[in-house]
Amino acid sequence: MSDSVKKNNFTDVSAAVIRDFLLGRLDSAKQARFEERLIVDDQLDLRLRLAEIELADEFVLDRMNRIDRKRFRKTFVVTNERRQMLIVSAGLRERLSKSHATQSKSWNPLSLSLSVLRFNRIAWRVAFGVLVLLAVLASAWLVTKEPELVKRILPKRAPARPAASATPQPAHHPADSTDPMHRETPSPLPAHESTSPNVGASAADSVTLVLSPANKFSEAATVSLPSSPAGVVHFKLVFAAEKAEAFQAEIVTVDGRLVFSTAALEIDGGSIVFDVPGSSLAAGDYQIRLSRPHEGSKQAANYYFRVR
Amino acid sequence: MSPAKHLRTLEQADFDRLLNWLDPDPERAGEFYEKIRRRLIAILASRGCHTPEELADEAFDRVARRVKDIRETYVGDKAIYFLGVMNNVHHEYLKRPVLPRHVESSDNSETKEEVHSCLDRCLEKLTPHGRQIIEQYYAGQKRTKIDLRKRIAHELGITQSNLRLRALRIRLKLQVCIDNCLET
Repeated sequence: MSDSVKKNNFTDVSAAVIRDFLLGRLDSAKQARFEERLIVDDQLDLRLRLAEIELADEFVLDRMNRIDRKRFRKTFVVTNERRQMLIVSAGLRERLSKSHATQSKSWNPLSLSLSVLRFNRIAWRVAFGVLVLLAVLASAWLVTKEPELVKRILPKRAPARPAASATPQPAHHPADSTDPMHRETPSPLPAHESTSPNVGASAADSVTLVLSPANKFSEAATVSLPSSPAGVVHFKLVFAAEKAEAFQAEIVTVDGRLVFSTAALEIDGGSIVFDVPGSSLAAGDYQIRLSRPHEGSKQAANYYFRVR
Repeated sequence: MSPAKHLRTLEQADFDRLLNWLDPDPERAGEFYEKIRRRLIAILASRGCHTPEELADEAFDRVARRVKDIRETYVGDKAIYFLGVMNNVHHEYLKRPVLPRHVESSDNSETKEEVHSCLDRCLEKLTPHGRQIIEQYYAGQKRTKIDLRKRIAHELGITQSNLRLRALRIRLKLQVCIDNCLET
């Protein structure tokens, strides 16, 4: 195959063709072309690996039609690696379905309350409205009928300042006058309620850093690491590309030491996003090298940031 | 019978010569070897071969024995050469008598146990964010899953397509982690 084939637009192989290849459904001409492309194209190989996983998941989750399932058993489940992949897919389904069910059933005051109340039901809305009305009426009755009780409940108020008179009058200030003390019993702070304690990252668990391409460390943006040891830094690299392609990102220190690397990154809405465990980073200056692995790791852009 | 078939075992010297031909750097040579092997296996499986791994290894053995003759004169992408040799191996495979296929049992409980154990360990290594994506992506019934994906994609500010790719990349990392775990 000539270099011109390698330089062709790598996005012209559709997901459907990859799927047909895996299920052994391509005609001989397409099969030959696909094979010649696959043997030299790293990006297509990566897409193939992702498609293999997706196909395994479809099979395990019973989302394939009967014909595809038959072809799948015939042409896909023929290697040890793929058999293992199926076991992993089944294991994931088993564990994560249980985890999802457990989370759904776990005691969560707010979500439980919301699910019980179900504000989208008129009956519950009416009942809630009646409850609020009763509470207001009860409060009004309490204030009018039991003033002593109210005085005990409500905090003491500072005496009102005397209104200014129209003509100045001599004020009689006692010798030992002191400013009236405003006393109040500080109310305890409300407990912090998380809307979803089991799902989602809190502010302490993650920070987001948006970076634009730069040429030197002096242009570095600064970030503070998440307070949680298991925290994550979400990187969003602004990058303009003319075509869909996969990238690799490497984070290195000023002295060139590699601290993190990730591949198979794709552009979404003009930026490339990936997560880095906060534990991988320490205070200091860093460079992110964005490269194109399918072009011999050709550099695409550099970014810089500083960790406080 | 071809001369290659007389030699049942590949000499270490031939193997070392092969790796050196692939790349002078041993680590890169190993990566190239694995990369080509995986692709040959995928191609042979797609062609309907029942033993793609064996056929791919046979192709590698033949290339290894020919390296000393071609290394000085061969020009071009070495991967293409492997494809050519694999084609010959496949043609010979097609001429063999069709034997009853031994279907690997997928109920190997010991293997399953090991894989599940490694899966649990590898799931713990995921970042909370990654764990969240993969949990919510794989859990639930089909309809629920579609709604969940829409919600997750919306919360993350990304398209559903990109969410799918993120989940698949995390899944691929899990697979690599499990493969490494099983080897230890």
